[in-house]
Amino acid sequence: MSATAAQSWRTRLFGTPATGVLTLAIGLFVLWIAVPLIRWALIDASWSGTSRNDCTAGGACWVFVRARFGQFMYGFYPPDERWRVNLAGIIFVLAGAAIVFAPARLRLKLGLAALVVLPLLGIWLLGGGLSLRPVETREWGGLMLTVFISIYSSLIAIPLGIAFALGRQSELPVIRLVSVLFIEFWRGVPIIAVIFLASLLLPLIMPGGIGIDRLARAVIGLGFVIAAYMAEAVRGGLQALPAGQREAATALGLGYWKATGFIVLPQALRISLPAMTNEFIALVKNTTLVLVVSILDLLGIAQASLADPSWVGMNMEAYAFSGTIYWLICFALSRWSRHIEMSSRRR
Amino acid sequence: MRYLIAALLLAGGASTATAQQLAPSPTLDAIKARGNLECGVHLGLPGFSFANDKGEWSGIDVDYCRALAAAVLGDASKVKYTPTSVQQRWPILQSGQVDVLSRNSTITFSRNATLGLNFQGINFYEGQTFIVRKSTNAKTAADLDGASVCVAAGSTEEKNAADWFRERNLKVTITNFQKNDDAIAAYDSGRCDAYTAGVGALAGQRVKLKVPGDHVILTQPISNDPQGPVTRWGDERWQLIVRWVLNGMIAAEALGVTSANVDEMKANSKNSEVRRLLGAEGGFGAMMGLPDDWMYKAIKQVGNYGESFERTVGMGSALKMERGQNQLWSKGGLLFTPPFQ
Amino acid sequence: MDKALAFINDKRVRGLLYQAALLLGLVGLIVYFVRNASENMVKAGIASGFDFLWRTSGIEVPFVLTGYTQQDNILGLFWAGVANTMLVTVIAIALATLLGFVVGIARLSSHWLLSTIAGAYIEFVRNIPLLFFVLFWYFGVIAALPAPRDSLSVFSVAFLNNRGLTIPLPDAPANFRWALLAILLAWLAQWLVARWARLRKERTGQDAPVLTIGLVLVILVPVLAVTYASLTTRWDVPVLRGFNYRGGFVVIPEFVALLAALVTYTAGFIAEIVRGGIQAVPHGQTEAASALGLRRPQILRLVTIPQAMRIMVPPMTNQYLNVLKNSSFGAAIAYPDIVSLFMGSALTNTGQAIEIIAMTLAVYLVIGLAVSAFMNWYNARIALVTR
Repeated sequence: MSATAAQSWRTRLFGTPATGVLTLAIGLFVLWIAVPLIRWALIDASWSGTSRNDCTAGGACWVFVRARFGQFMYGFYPPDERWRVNLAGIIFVLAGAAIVFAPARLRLKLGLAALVVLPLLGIWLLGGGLSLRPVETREWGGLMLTVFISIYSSLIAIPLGIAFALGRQSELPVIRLVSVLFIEFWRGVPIIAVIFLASLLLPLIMPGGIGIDRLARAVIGLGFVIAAYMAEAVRGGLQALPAGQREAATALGLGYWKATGFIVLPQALRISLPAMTNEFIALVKNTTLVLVVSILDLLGIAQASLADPSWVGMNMEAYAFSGTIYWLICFALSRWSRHIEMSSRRR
Repeated sequence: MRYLIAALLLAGGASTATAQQLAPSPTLDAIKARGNLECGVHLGLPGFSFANDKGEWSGIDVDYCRALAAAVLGDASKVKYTPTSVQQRWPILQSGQVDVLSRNSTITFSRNATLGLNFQGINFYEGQTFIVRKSTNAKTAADLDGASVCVAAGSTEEKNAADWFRERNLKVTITNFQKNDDAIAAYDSGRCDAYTAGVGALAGQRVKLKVPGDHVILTQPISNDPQGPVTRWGDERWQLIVRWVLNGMIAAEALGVTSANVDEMKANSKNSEVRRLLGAEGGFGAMMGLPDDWMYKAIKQVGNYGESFERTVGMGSALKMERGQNQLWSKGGLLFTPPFQ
Repeated sequence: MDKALAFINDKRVRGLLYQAALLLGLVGLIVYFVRNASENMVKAGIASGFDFLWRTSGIEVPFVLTGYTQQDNILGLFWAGVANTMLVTVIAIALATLLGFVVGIARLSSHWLLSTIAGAYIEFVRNIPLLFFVLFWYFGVIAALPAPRDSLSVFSVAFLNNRGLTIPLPDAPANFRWALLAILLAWLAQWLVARWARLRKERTGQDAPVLTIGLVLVILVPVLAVTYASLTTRWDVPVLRGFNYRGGFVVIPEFVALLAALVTYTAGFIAEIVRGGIQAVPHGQTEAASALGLRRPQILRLVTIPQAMRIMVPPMTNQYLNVLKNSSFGAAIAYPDIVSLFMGSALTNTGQAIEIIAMTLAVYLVIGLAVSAFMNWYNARIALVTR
């Protein structure tokens, strides 16, 4: 560090007596939290072994996480078939990257194609059938389930959200009213209640004999709630768009659907992408609530593993590990959202 | 159609009984078409229904599901388990997601009368009691005056405990958790002085505590909580099957039929009740639309009630429970079965 | 196109057709669902109707504000749950706003370490599911507190242990009613004085001693009133007997944990709103204010925050509604809120899912509407008045 830099840090932290005192106080506070935490998580932790008895160092027992790692990732998905989950994950990531880095004129087509093909491919790979061994949803769990619920709920939420955002802006009073009612209802009720609602009520309102998969019910319930939030995010984009855009399109002779599809929506969605990403982050966090209907997502499987008599007392380890994963996912997403927000502002 | 089935049964020589018209059983048909039994169980209660880290289920309630699958499908392994919380168990059964609920659930009047449920017998006589820390020196429930008690919301224990202490003018604070495991975790971390559940359930839950040896289960129960398999209203033939598979397991123990000697008993036994139970005579299976060797399969693959008890909650298990009330009536217990006649 | 069908191209006609189709479709769908549901319920033998509300509940609730007891009916249980939900929501909103403002302003501090810490806090909190906070605080709070025998005592009248905070309760509340009335009157007087002072300042430019009068009215009067009331009332002071303290009122750890979780979590979001709002105030405003000789705290209080409020109120409303909805996370740690009591205990006991879920959702929608209405009123009040 050069002398000037050191100098500038010194003024920044200890420039005046007040600043200095504040720096010291905060510094001590941080140390007070960080030192025991680091000792527990890293220095005093036990990393290798096979059972609880191997954790003798007094700190975190990461042996537990290692022993349960497969379950944290895949739940009770049969070990021989886990390659299918990995494959599905890789395909989704590659497809996402291809869309992001594709030339602009191909992007929309690629995106639409992926939107149709990928979900079906994903269900086939995970669920089996057609020459793959069927794996029932009750065997799914862990991180894969968190990701699955997030993605498939937003597959319901985004189209619905766009539709209701447009409906809320519509000139037709009935459509506007229905949209407002839908949005405000789902935004007004807690997600815990919605998941309950979906799991209890969906089987009741279907004609006798038609069962809906337990997981599908949770996905539908979450999808409806997030759709309402997505609708508000998209509405922000629609409102930010100058009215002249639609007027110009109409003047060119485009009808409502064409003007919406080719002129208004593409621009509005670009504006609302950061807001929609934030709603997606909220969705990822809210997937934890599916554990109220005994679907074991990452947090659920972590909790379930605590009940194992041979690994009693691993609460801190289980929560710290799963919490870190949630944090990494959400943090990365929020960074990305901020990045696109910044780059669109610069444009 | 019914005639056709009856005719087929006759033609197949499957039955020597008079061909009778079987009531339709959509549940049984669905199970056969699906190839497996859908069984609702507890989320995780060692000894009753518990999945190990490979996802394999075991326990006395699970054993009943397996016996039922063996009787209906001929293979005890053809069961799919749906773990249910205290709150979910009824809706899951009512909406037809499971064929039967074998989940450590107490038979009560209002459940029977208002929830559209039928209880098909008793596979475990449970009595509600408390687990407390040894350091509290509590010997009976009456010593718990002023204590905090953790309980699972929506269970019979929740109301039982409140009633029991109120009737005796004792004041306890009851904290109701949504799941048993949450209540146990809270008890273990010191939030409550006691956790209440059935004696058997407590024996199972105790192993989840950090230091099981520091805790003691009060021996004197405050209530009787008979538990057994539950079905929806309707489909009487399915209810019949559920009821008599349980009776069959108990009868097998009373008659001395075990998984080890079942082949020999079926071939050589002179006792006609044994012969009817195992399908050597009487054609009982066909009367319910099952193969005549239904109970033979169940006992061969799962064992009689006593074997199941010893293996899951009894001396052969980690729970080490005495038979107590769950002993046969002939040996001083309460277990009783109507005759196979 | 055929002339007879040409009217379809009329925009208004088409609009009507669309709406009619939507309406028909919706009504049809609802009728279909309702018919299926009633058919399924009859077939399954599940009871329906609202009679169950008058059945004895039999459920013991550890934290009651409404005077509910185990002997009351299920409707009483419902109101007990509603009261608990509202209690934790209101307090959490107040505290989260406070903490959010502190963190948001710290984030903008010129002190590097302070703003970095605030930023780290925000990034940490916003990216973790709320359920982790609830569980962390719950088991953290219980673990940190001592067992009843080693309770932390506050002047030997209030006791803190892992069963909660036991505080004394007045035996006869009559004097407290008078005290409350006195406090309310004092606050009303303070409001009038402040109003008068403001008007006078606008007219004459003179400052009135609002602060001194305010201190007397807002703090001294309540302190005196409460002291008088407490000294003249007999107290039900908790005493240690057997397992725990008897008597008094117990603030349960579930409440504290849920409150702490809601406050620390929501504060992260409010802090971002505060930061965004303050940054949106043009820099010229601050410069102009400091040119007028205002000091930094004064600038913040008199110039920046009043303007930032206008930007902050709509997103704040959303956060407040989130607190209301998120209070349902209490169900995970046995806080007896409406979800836990009504959708948990009562539903399992009665099995009447449709009625109970509908009532629970209605509670959230009604409270949510009330919060929105209040915030809209507030927003209109602070909106830029163009004279």
